[in-house]
Amino acid sequence: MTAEVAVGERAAFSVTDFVVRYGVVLVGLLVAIVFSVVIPGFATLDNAVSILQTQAVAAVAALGMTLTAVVGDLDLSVGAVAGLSVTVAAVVMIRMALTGPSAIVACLLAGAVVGCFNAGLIVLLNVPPLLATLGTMFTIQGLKRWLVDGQTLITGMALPNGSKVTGRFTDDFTGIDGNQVLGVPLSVYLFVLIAVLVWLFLERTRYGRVFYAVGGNAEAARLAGARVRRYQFAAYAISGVLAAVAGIILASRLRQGDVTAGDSALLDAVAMTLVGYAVLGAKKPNALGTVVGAVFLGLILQGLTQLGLPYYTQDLIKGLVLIFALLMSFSLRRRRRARR
Amino acid sequence: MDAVLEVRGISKSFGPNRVLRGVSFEVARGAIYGLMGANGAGKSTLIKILSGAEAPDGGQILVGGGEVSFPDPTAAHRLGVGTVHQNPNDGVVLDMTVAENLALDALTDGSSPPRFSRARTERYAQEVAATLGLRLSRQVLRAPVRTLGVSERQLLVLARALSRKPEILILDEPTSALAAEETERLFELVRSLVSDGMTVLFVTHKLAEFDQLCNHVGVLRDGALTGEFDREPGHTFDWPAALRALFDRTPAELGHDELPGGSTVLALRGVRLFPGAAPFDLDLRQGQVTVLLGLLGSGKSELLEWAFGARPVVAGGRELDGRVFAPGHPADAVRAGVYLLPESRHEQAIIPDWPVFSQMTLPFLKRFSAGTLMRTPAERRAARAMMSEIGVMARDPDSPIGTLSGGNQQKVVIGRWLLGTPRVLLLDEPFRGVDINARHDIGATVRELSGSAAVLVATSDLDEALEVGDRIVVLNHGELVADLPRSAASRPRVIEAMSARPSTLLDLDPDPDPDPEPEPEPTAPAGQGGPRNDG
Repeated sequence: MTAEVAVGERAAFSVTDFVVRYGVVLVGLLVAIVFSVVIPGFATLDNAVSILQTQAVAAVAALGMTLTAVVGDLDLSVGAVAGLSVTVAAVVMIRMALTGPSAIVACLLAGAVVGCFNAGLIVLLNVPPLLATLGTMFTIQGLKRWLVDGQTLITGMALPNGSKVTGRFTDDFTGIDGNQVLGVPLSVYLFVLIAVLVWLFLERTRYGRVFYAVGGNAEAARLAGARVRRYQFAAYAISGVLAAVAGIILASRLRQGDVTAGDSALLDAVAMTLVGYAVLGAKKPNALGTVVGAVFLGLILQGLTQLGLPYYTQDLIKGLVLIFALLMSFSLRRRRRARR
Repeated sequence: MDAVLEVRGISKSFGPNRVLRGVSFEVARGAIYGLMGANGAGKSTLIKILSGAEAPDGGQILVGGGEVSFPDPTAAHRLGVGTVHQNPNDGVVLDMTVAENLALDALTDGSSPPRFSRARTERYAQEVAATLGLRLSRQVLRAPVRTLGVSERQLLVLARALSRKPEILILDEPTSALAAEETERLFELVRSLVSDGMTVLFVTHKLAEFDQLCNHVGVLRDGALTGEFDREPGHTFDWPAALRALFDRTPAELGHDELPGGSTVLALRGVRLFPGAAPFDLDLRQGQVTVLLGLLGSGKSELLEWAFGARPVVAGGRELDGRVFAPGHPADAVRAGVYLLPESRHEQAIIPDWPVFSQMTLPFLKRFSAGTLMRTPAERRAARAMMSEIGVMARDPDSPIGTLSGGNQQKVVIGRWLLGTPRVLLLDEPFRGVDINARHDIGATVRELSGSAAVLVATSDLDEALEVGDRIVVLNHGELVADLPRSAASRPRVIEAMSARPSTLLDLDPDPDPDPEPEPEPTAPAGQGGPRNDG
């Protein structure tokens, strides 16, 4: 009898299960190995750091989006909020000629305000999350253009009244992405720190447990005594702040108030979050998966770029990677279930 | 042997779990075959296989003497096997109207013209409803199914299954959501269908229903058929023998001493559940089990959820141990030791895909964490201890909840609250979808708990009420109409108090039609049992 059970358990192993669990990681490793062989200088520490640095902006936004995906749905305003950070930083430092720290505070505040606005729409006014954050996305994209009259803010540019703006991105602010410690930019440390914190929060704290309970069955969580609305509110508020942090890194990289900055971070973040579903067969949003998704995307883009792939094909590649990951986490699973 | 359905050596495993180990039985044409089995005996899996929702690992299914296979439910329909599942929500589209749900088969099978016509849909819906003897008003036809109660949804699913004119009808606990009157109506219908030549496989947890309907009963235990019993006309089944086949032990006598009850723990004052309903007071005492008996729509769930702070009612005050208790959120109630087991396990209690241990610890995460970090080993220990205390059959605390049978899932969500320190335990239909074995276990747990907490069990089943309660409180349309010690709660008295309009669907037919038009003249004897008896 016991022997039978043990045999049964071993027989339960299937190729599909294995692919669902390790597919993304294996393909990632394979891609890394192929690029290392084909491209001289690909398998270097510098290149790895460069991948992380490139992905840091969208990945930090994706970690915030992961939190909202856990309790409900994707926060579609993260790209716009990141862009808002760029604009706010430029307005504070270039137009107002204030310090870097005050720009950081202003960006974080702006992110928190937008996050709370999303949360209010969703939790207090019952707007469906995807639609609420979509509305916020448009509004914020318009707001940041309006803040700078649709122009890119650059040090020394002339204002309509003829005077010149004198402020500039301060060194401490540009140092976030520009300065290195032990050969690694500060922005990469920031990314890793946030990733670890979000992972700890979701996987190891009781708040994270309730986040997943709310996402799994909100009514059951409420009837178990969880204040569901507070958790949902917190998720969208935190997401706003993390998107602002992503924007700060981006601003520090751009050093000017580019009005379209951040827009592309949305789709990257969506892709990272959804690729995360497929990592280790989680089938749900999770911090580790999102980070793996970020690295996976970065690896492929970096490699293909170094192979001479034109920049304008990047979105095509990202889309294909996303669809591959979605097939991993949804289609394979369904087939396995049906076979039962 | 005129066997219309024959099952030969069906086996099925889920991973290491051998759920069915070679089940064989046959059902004669025109018979009502009863299938009983305890928690996890394999009943639901067997029905899934017979309805085409699951494929067996081995064995054969023969319909009308020929071997068949059901790759999917549609194939089963085509071969004349119709199934009504236990959870009516599996069979309806909640956001579509009653008419659209009833007409769903016609809308989806390609037989209706491309242009949607409400008039045609409603005409067709009326035809389908007529198979159950229902005539629906335009208002009901146009109401979304979401606004209907569980029993009404069940009737819709049943009507649809019957409209396909199946040769073999599988009924999986069809009465678990029905009131007594609706149950009787269903049984009448089943008898008349059978006298018309239909064959029925009937699964229930209620022993009395076997006596009313079936001539043969098969008992399933641990994935194997452990006994088959025939009933002499006019007699009941040999229950002692059947129950011995069902449990591996003879079940203890169901009776219990009536406990008088001690001090009042939760006092509900001037409660008005619905506008227009008369207010009432209700004291819940420690040391006894109070049963709140009422049909669907009587306000049972509303009362319990209000006491738990999960919903408002029109008016009313709450006192816990003599102090004002006004929970604005379930979290307040949980902190005060007032716990609710909600009515619908899947929709209101279980977090999908979670393992047993985290289902249990969910309300008390703070206790299982250091600072904010979870102490998972402590959770597993506590869950393992609770599992053995209340008899949860699962491999270990890490088993996903979906791998447990319904009764064991229910024990898990009850065990969740026993991890706390209950002052008041409110249980809403704790025996729904739970087999006899688990029902006894849960009843025993509940009675034991009444020593330290006030226990309120809400149910619509009089047998359950008499089995578990010391005091029976009857709720009817939001009003408290009887409050009796069990010894004084005679069946006629309680039924009279509960009765009146059981559901709005039946409301529409104020003068119950004694001869619903689609039914043939009743050739079967009106009494219990059908005319045929093979053996």
